[in-house]
Amino acid sequence: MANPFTVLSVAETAGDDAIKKAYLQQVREHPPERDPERFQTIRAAYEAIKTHQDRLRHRLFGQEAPELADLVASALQPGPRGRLSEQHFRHLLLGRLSGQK
Amino acid sequence: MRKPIPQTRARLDDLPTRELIARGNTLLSTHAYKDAIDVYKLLVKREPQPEAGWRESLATAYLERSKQLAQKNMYREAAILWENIPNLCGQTRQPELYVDWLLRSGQHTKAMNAYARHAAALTAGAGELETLVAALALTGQKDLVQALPPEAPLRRQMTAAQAALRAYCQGEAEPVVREHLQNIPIRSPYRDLRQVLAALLKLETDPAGAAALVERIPPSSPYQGVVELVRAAASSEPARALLALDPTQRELASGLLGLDQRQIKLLREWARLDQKPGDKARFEFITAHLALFDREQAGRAALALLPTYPHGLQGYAKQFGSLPPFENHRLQALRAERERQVDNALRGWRACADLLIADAENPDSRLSAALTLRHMAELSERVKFSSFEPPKTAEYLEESLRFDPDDRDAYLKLARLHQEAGNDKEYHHWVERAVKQLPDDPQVLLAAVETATARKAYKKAAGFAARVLELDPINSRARAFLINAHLAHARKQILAGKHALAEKELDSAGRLERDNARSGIVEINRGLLAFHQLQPEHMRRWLREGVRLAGSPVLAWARLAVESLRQNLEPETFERDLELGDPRKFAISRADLLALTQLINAYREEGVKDLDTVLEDLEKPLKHAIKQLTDIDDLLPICECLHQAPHHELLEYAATRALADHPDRPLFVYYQTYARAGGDIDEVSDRDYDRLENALNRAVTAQDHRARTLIQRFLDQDMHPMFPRPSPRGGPPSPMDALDLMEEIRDDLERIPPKMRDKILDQMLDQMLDSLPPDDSIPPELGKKVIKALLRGGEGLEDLLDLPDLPPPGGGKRKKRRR
Repeated sequence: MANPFTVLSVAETAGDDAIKKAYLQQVREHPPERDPERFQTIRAAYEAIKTHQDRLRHRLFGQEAPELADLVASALQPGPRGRLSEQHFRHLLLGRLSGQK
Repeated sequence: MRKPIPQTRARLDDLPTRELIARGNTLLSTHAYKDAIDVYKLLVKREPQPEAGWRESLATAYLERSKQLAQKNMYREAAILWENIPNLCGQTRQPELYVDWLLRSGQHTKAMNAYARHAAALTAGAGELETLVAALALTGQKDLVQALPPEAPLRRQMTAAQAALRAYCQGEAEPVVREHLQNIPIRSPYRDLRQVLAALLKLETDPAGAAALVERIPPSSPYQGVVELVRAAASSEPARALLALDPTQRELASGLLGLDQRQIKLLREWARLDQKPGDKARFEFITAHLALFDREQAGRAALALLPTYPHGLQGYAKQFGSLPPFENHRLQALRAERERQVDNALRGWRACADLLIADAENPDSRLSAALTLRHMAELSERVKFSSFEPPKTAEYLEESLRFDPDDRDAYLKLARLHQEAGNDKEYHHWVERAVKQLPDDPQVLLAAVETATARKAYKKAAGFAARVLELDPINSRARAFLINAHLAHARKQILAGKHALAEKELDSAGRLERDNARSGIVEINRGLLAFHQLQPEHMRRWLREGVRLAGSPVLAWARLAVESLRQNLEPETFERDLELGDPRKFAISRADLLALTQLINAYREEGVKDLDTVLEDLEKPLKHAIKQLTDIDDLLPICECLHQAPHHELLEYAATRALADHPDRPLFVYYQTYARAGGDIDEVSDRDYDRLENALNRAVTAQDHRARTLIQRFLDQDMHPMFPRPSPRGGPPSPMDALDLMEEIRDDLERIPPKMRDKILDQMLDQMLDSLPPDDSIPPELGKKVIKALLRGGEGLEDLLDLPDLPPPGGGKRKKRRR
């Protein structure tokens, strides 16, 4: 199972209300009739951390592997934006011109 | 050496021209352009004059064949074939396709030349091609653009496009680049460049806006490579978006995002990790890039990996400091759980619970302690245990309630455990505690209904059920209980001849029934009451109404049969009167069968006996109905019902039916062997015994707890003959049987803690002596002492009787058991 806090995009310190709000937001974005698999994941995540007791239980016994993507994302804080060089720009164009199907 | 002429070609040469023409037409109309080329080539050879028209047909065949090749992505071959066309008829056909194929096959110079050469012949639909050629011009083929007419937009607007690109790439300020972009008309062949440069500029201040801008660039545009970079750099989850790119694109997008070398290295190494990296790789990845991560987040992630990667413990301590004792124990427990070492896991959790209890002032610690203890209760239930050493499930649950007294499930589970262990006093105690703590919880109140009923405190039970209905008016269990309570009273009053009181009870039951869920039971009882009151007309009217409400003949028949027997009446009298027909000839549908299953279950739960005799009359139609079933979800409840009823013959039939479709399902193997042996393990054949053991192994592997418990319990009849069974040879157990059993009991006794041994031994002896044939020559007390001494290996036996030395325990030859 994926980390329920990540699934619902809430902090691990979030309370009942914040978690419910995040859950409803996720359900709006991924309604069961359109995205049933994702909805199941969201539902399971919500059930896992819905109440304070659930969150304590999750902290004690939860065994899901950590999401490295979150960790990596936090490490990729953008610096001053760069630009493409002409050479790179041409390279990308040529690649597309030759490889187009 | 001369190349041999292909056979088809040789045959074509022999054909007269008239036939060749006909064949050429056919081949063209059937899209067989490859063969058509051969035919028209031959016709051109025979009649080379242009007015013959074969050149036109050959050009058509070449063009269509080229298109076929291009559809197979054979662009180079398509272009080569197309090149035959201008020489044949002196004019080009669809040159935009030719340029396109040249571009797609990487022949850029040739493409530019062809574009310049055929510019005038390009059709109006060649806008997309113009964009491609414009992009090609920007890649460095600018000299060839000079071959185009001066007024061609591609040539005219190229300088502005190049200037805009250069301004962006050389880091000019945004307004300067925008000024250059203004010089590119909106319908220019360079319009995609205009759009993509605008998006790249936007990316620096408004990433979401940049993503919106590139949405307008068509998917076939040659700028899509740049578009992908913009999308990744503008993504709200750039890490994931970057990972989806190829390595070169990823480096370029990282540059757009402004990532430094360390971040790019992190990204590169993350991309190298597989889709599902191992725990070691994950752990090492975290520690290698610790400087870039949020330290707390990284610490949590590394800690989460330790149960599956214990070797990381040292590395963890080095990077994040030693683990506190609680985390150490928690990790040990989690690791043990993963390795299915339940005892070790329980030890780890016990240590955790003790630490939490020591901090019980903190509400979170109290609740965590309770949760840990409940988790231990769940774990302890999984331990394979001997019946003499019960798991500590109840103890853990009881302790958990000290720290969190509001957990309904803990009370109910405790009650259930004691109920299953036959410890009624404790069962009732825990339900009472639950009611006291949670007086408005319908589930707790329903449990209280059950305990009160078990203690025959019907008034109290009815009170609880009524309270459930107040709290939850649609609670069907409470409603059914109250209806049954009134019906039970009514039956009592009928049997006692108090007909007026019985009628009142039936009225109450009728009022509780929901109009849309009337089962006919109240009406049938009214009919039976009328029979006692000697009112045959009333009786018939009520019974007919009951039969109608029951829904189907089989359900009506079963209800009438059970209800009559409960009032000591012969059901046949009424069945004949109501013309219900011969039960052996009923046609039972799937729905009727499932409804009958529920009915039988409900009667069994009410404590109605002899349900098997009711089923006896329905055996034939039931078998027929069971035979038609295919769904496992239908067969399971039917087997369960017949197992409980019990009706071994039908159970064996249903299980055999289920096994035909699910031959390896342990539960059905159990039901079949159990039924075949009449529920007696001694009657199980050796072959079935092996099948049972295999089924048990499969149930354990598949974590099929229901099957595992049932099979284990059945097999345990063979393990612990504490409760003597009838002799396998029939009749009461013989002294020889008892001696066999003693050998086994002696083994079992050795596993009992010494403190408990005497108490259990006394119980066993009482049961054993009761089951032995009476022997007037030995007083019961002396017999008990003798057997006790025998079980202890003969210790003190000489003092009781004058017998030769007995073999020591375990030293004698033991009858080989199957387990």
